[in-house]
Amino acid sequence: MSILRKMLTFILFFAAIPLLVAQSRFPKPDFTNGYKVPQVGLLPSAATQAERSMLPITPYLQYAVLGILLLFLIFSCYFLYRKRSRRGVLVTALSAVVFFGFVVGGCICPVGSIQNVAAAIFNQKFPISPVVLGIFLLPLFFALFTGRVFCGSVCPLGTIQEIVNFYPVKVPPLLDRILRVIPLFYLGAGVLFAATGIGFIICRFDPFVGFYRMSGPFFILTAGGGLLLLGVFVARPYCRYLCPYGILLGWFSKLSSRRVSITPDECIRCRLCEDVCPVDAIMPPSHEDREPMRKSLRRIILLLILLPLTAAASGVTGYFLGNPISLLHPRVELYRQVCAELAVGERPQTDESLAFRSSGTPVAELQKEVSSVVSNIRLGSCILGIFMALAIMARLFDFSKRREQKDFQVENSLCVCCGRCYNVCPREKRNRIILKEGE
Amino acid sequence: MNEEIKHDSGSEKQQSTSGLSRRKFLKICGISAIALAGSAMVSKRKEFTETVWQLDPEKCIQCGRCATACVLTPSAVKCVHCYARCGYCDLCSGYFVQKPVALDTGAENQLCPTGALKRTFIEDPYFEYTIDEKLCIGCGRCVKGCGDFGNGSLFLQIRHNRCKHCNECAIAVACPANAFKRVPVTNPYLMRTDVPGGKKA
Amino acid sequence: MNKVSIKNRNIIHRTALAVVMVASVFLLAVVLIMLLQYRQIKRTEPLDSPALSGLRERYITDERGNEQLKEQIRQLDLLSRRAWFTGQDQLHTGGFLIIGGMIALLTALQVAASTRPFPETPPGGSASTDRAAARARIGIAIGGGTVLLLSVITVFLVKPFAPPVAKTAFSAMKVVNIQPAETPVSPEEFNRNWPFFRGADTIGVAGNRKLPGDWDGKTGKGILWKSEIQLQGYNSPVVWGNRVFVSGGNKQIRELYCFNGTDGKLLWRLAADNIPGSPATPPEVAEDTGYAAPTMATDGRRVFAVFATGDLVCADMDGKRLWAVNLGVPKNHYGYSSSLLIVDGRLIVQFFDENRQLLAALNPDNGKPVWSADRKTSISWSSPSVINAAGRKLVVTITCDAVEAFDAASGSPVWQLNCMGGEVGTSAAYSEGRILVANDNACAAAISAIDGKLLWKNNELTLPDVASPVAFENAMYLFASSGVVSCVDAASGKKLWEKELGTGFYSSPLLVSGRIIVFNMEGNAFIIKPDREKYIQEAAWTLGEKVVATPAVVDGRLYIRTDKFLYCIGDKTE
Repeated sequence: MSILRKMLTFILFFAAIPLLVAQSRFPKPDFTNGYKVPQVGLLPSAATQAERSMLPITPYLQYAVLGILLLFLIFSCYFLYRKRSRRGVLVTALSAVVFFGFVVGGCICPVGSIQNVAAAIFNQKFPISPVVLGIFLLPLFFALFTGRVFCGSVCPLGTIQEIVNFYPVKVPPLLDRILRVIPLFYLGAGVLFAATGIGFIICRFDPFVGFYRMSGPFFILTAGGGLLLLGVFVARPYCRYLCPYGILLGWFSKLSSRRVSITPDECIRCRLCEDVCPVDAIMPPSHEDREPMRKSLRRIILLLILLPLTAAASGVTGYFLGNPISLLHPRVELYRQVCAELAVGERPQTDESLAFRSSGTPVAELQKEVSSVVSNIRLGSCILGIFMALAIMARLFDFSKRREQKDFQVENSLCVCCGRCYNVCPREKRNRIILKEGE
Repeated sequence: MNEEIKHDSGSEKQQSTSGLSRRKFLKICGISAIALAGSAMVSKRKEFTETVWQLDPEKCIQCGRCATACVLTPSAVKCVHCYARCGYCDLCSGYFVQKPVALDTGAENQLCPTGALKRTFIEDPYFEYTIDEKLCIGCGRCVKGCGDFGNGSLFLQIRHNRCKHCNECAIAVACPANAFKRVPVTNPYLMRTDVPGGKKA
Repeated sequence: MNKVSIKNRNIIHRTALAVVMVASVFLLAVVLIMLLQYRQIKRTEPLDSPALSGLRERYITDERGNEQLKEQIRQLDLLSRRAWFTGQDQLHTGGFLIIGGMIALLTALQVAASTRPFPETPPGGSASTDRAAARARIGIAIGGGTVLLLSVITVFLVKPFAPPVAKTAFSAMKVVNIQPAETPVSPEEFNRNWPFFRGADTIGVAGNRKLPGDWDGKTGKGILWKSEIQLQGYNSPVVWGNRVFVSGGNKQIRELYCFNGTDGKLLWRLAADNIPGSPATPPEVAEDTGYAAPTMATDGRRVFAVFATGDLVCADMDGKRLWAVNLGVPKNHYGYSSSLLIVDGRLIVQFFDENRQLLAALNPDNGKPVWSADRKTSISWSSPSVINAAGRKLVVTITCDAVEAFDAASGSPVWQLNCMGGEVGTSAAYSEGRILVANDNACAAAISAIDGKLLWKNNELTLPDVASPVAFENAMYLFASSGVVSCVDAASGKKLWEKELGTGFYSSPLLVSGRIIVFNMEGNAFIIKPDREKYIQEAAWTLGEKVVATPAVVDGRLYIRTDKFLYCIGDKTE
């Protein structure tokens, strides 16, 4: 028996003859010395401690993470609005870096969860979980009532930038306004790519998660390091000029009645708060010499005329941009590869096409899938184009409105609730004491 | 000064009362929209549970990218052995390179680049093969060897004690066979448990 | 803070700044080293040094006994493992060093920032409200405009993906509905003629047909005519009405020929040239396969021929080229040899080479695919057959791994059975619900046509590797290249008898009027009465020339092709 078996093994090995039924080539051995075949464990009913340790964290723990997020949000509200304490906010931010960053490991965060939600809305098969939904909605819900407290002291991406920003320099206002357009399109691309199955680009290009894991792709790690270095001088570069979730939070916090109020007392117009604000969210009081009303009105009318035109133009552009975008979809790429192989015949196979062929799916089926993917992307990109045009126009309207204000006031959609302005305001109670004692 | 403060707060109030009704209205709209969208999304779904990443060994083609694409080094993917399926062969095609010179534990005959696959004598002609997960880098060479010429008792799985649960698994993006998927956290492994056909999704 | 004097404050500030400098330099150094190491580790697949794999390769293939080399491999292996794992550990340590450095840096920065001297002058005045708003509008417009512009540029720069249509017939995988021909060719017409390799039923069973009586190729007795074929080829003749079609080719040129069945005159010849996608230099093929191994097919309105270059040509019955495509250049070490056939008005092409295994049904009007089944199995030299099973037509293919059945109407795979091996050149036979296959180096097997279940398998037979089996009344007859004829019970797979005939068979046997007719390689034809008990030879004739192709039998005439000639054998009186 044993010699026969050995011979069989050898023959098989050298001849490499594909056998009748794959993967049941050698019969179960019957041991005579009482050897027991070990069980493959690691099923949910894991018996030993070692096996149990290989299970993922239980759902309860994931719910606990959600609960801790809620706690963090409550704490930051408390420090920001009740205590008016920059220090409290900073401590919360530090703990967030430690907990959401190093302990939880970065994923899943509300910024990335945009894509899960988008994918779940447009793709019935995409699994969404209560925790993911909660993580996506909770900061938005808070933004609706208390502004972007999430950004200031909870977000693991924002807080790591917050704690490195020591020598803030002002970004030239024009450049700032130009760059602030980017997150809008990043959000759009993130939603489109997630909804059509291209991938989660917001996660793929998350610059800081690599630090929390102390591992990651080379490019991302270096980009993250660069952003942090930049963040020493330019406050929160990611938050301001990239973060897609910040756009959503900004929209929601526009409705918030609660805002960071700079001085509880009479403003002495020292401009220290405006100067210290890292994100240029503090609007100075309006000047006396305003342009005539007619001019503003004319501008608004012009914008109203331009609105449908730009929407149509970017809708059309979006539709055609769908073609290049669809090339990024993995199935489209696979289909291209398969077609190229069929056409040329000698093009070397990739792992992808090999896997596709061995799966036995007919090319026609892939083609059907691809054509539906492409038309989805085109449609999505068209809608997105229109939406982006509307969003840009809404911003223009915002700055065409006549704004009359007497005091330094915080623009809620921009303020990241860091509390720096509390620290510098000479009229703040605590500072008044310090100043008095210093005199 | 007192008066001024009063005046200040008065103006604030005035401002807020004019804006409040609109704001409140929009807010109610916003909340109800979120609630509607959320419940619509949830109600249509059969599965509404936490998920983790796992790879389907039936789809895996052992391209070796698990070892390199993971955000972790060494990868969170490890080789797992289904003993019940194993033939306990002397000439294990998962352990030895093709046409080995001798059936011993010499490095020149071993397929595993890290020596993570251990070979223990049981009785003639049977050998037990175990995996040292500390050394395993998830390259899948042994899996390929075992699948091509043996019983297919070796296969790859994501080890959840190592996995960082990235929102977008980097190996899933790189996987050419689309073998990675989100599975319910309550059933986090897609194991080969017994003889072929015994359990398959 | 009030207790700290201005002087002390300045000292603290300066110290903190110094700490910042030191920590930054330290961090920068660590980060740089780590980045370099990280790049190294991530870039190469772990432990995959070319030096080591080169040594291993050398040891396994050339110097299996070389002890010194063995030792060298072991040492290098140990070294690379150690280096890799140490590298990992170093990265880990580096990570903690960075965290430590970061904490020091951040603390120092915090101290430095909080002890920064108070600003001497208050910040200057800001721009007017209107001007700030105008600037904001300009910024937003520039930002939005830039994105729009970039999008437009991208749209124009990146070409949208269109599947390559022009090159091959298979690239456009659209399922098209063919318009039925005005007068569809009836099955009776097909059966009356000899439209495909191994006849109208594709399994070598021709029903009741008259076979020519006494003939002899050496004396010329019974030879009605003999015509020279310009180019060599191993394909078999197909016949429709009064026309006999064969193809031939060499590395330079491939041609289709049509002969008049009455007198053997060449009616027309058509060169398969100027085909888009056809390779400039044809692939190398083995001498005993040639460039024109696949047999042509005809439906009485058109003829189709395919060559080792992948060129597929369609011509009408008068030799006018209707269309031609290149299917892709077959990567085939012997040469492409699968014959064509027509099922329900669709041309079935089996294109199985080393890279891809594609079975396609083409619209005979234009060569566009109606369906295609693209599955990874393996290369094959066998030809597809059509089998009626359970009310539908199955296209059965045999590859070096598997026997597969596809639904002839849709191309969807019906079943697949991995039971083959070696290099398969034979095609299937069929008897009472069983698909019978036999090939040397694999086995003889019977498969249930309905579900693809293996009924039996026998690899203790002398098996053919070119001549396909033929089945009659529950028995399968095999004609091996070694000259051994065997009869196998189709129900059990048991060998019933075996007969050694000396000369081998490449030409496939046919079952005509209850008799098996088969040519051996020397050109001797045997008429064998199928019998389960013993070998019964009823007649034997000689052509006097080597025969590899399979004959066609129509209207009492036997058409057989040799290397150079096409023979028509029949009774003169008719």
